Amino acid sequence: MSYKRFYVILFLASGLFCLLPLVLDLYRLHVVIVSLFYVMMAASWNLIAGYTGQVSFAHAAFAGIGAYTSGILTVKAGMTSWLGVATGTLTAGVTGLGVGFLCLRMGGIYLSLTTLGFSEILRIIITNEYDITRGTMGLQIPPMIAPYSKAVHFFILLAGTLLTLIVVYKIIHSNMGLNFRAVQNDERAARSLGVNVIRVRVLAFAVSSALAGLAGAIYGHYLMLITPEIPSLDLQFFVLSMAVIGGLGSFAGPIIGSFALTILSEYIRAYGEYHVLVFGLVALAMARFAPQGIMGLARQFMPASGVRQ
Amino acid sequence: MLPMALMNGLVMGVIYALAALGVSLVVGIMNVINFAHGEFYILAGYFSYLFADTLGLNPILSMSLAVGMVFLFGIVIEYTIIRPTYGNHMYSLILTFILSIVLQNAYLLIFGPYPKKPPGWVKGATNIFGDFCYGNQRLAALAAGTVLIVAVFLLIKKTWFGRMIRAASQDREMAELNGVNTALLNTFSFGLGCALAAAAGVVLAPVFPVTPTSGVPVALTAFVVVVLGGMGSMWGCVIGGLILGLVENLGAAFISTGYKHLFGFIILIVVLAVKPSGLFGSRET
Amino acid sequence: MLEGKELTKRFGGIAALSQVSFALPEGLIVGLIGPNGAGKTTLFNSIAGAFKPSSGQVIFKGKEITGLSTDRICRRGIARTFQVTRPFDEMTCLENVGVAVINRARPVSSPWRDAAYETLRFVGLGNQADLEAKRLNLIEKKRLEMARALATEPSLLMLDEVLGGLNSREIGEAVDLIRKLRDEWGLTVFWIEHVMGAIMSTAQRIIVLDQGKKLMEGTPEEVAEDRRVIHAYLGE
Repeated sequence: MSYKRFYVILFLASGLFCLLPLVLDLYRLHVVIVSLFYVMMAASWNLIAGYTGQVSFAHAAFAGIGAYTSGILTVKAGMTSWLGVATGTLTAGVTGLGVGFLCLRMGGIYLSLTTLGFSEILRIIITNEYDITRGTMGLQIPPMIAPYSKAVHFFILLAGTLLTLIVVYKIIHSNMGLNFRAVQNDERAARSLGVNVIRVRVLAFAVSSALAGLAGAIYGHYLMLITPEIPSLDLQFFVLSMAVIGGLGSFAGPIIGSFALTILSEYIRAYGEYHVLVFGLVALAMARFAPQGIMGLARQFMPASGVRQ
Repeated sequence: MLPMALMNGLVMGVIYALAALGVSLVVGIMNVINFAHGEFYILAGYFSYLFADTLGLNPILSMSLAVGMVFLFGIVIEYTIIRPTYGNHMYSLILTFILSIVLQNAYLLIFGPYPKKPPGWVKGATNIFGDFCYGNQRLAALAAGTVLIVAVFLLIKKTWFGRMIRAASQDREMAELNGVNTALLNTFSFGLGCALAAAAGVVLAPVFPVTPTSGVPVALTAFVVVVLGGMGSMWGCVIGGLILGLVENLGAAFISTGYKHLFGFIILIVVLAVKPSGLFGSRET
Repeated sequence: MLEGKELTKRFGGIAALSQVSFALPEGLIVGLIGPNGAGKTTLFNSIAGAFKPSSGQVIFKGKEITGLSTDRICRRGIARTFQVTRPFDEMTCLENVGVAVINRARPVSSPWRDAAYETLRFVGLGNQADLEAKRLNLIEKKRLEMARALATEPSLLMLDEVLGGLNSREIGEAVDLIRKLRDEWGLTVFWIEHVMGAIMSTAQRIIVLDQGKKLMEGTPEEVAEDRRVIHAYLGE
């Protein structure tokens, strides 16, 4: 896909999205906003998992860092939401840099282990520091723009989604993106051609974590209540499932996966709290039998239609 | 307070060591981290509860049955889910993580959210060192855990099967050339890894009842132990497990109960920063 | 150019390489031969930084490079190919070579695609530039491997059995290519090979390894006549 075509499709799609607040009721608009949050999460997770082959289990945790940093700064320090979101994004990125630097010297398995521990620890800290975070009760924070309006926040999340998608697209089509794919394809061969594998991985991890921080921060201000649900392994699992079911390593996969699963979960929710189990089984089956996800199946069954990476 | 914390630390340390041995065994041979390790641990707790409490079987028999069932379950999982991912790290990590969430939710559906506790083996408490009473069940868990660890060491260090395992974890290709059926060995060791998680589970369940998610902290600690001890090192698991158990319980007793599991994570950070190959790690990366 | 001083590499208790010393003069093709398991690839790996030698030193252009990371050694000017080719399967040939171009020590001013395409044409893969690497046949994969190594702009090229599996015409072409690298590009070539005829007629010096030790070093003629070498190859 050429640059031009990408931007044309992106802006046409967002133009269509701009009409949604006119036609959707508030509940449906909420579902779309949640989907957009998941698009931001899954697309940025795809940047590390899909394009460099490293599995981070702390993506939700970084969203939590973004949300709590911004939330606490706006509530306790009187910062504006916009500055709060920027600080939250930066904090998530810098933390990602630190965690990445610490464990990526030892290879991918260490990243998965450490990030899993990291998200659990973050949950413990948030739950325990009740005075600052209000623990599991949740912290009430102001919206991005007061007075609160769902439509306005829809546009803010849409802008965040566009920003995330453009950043991801630019990176995977840059020299850095070429290095990402080389590292994923064959780490040893990449090293032998002068690729500084550790730097590539740490950078990918930091950028992806910053984007998660951005998503979490904006989403927190939309919800106006941040709880340990954001940095939870359940949310991590949703993001992972969306990327895997949509198609890891393809640009459109996580977008499709996010919308499909968010809307699906709203339907299943009506029949009780089984949606996690159902997603899990679907994701398990997909990862096992169709590791390229929906996008991979589309390429397989419609080779002529021009569905490409 | 100190003797109590020390004893609790020892009991948990032995359990962590046992769970970590299972993780370590699978990493050493298959280079796969089983993120569902904690869910196998919990499954054994549920099985032993079912057999002993619901069916009324003898506790020892129920525990053996539970470990056996989890071993078989592990073999089925390896054969159906893990095996196709050989050579693709990323998918084995993703698949076992999804598996852990699926199992947690399945337990919630089947067993409900409330703690389930299999019957204890012994009753009462014993006066230790003349100054405090310690539950007999915990002492029994300590003894049982120690016996199991010794049994694992004997299995790996002294038997024909252990020799094959050690050969395969040092050099797969060489082992294959020497006629070791590594596919079969993988299946069997994955099952054994799960059985070790199960053993830890049945030993600890009468002390700390199981809930659908109570395996998570134990598995996380087991992962920290594996990194602390050094990937693939058996002594590392034992020493690391004891260190973690003691640090957590002393920390909980003297610093903060809520941050019990934070201490383990701090250890992980220090290890990664100072000696990333772990205490007994020799493997080059 | 490249000097090894008493290089030793032990795996567990076994010495795959013991006390090997050698010196490669600039601008020559130097062959590295020896029976299977003699430690040839281990020597390459120790030089290229795939692992750190247990003891000894590697000196390149007067500076010690022992134990540096592989990517830094590559930027210093040592490129290698692998015995079993390791292309980036899911990437096109052009992108495969592009990875080497964008990570050069001296960054290119022109777009990497141009430089990568030039290198592909040089090894005869100009028409396959947009093909995914996994679709190439064996000989094309070997050429791609060579193109990637060359695209790093090395001064020393280490080739690990590039002729294996080729027919005699293809061997001729490959040998011509290697000669051209020496004569026109001024490269020093360190070359492991089992196809004896080709290496004996192309290399100016030959180093023979046996059981992890250096057996001898000399011109191809000296090596061909040496009784120790014949003994090592034919066995007891």
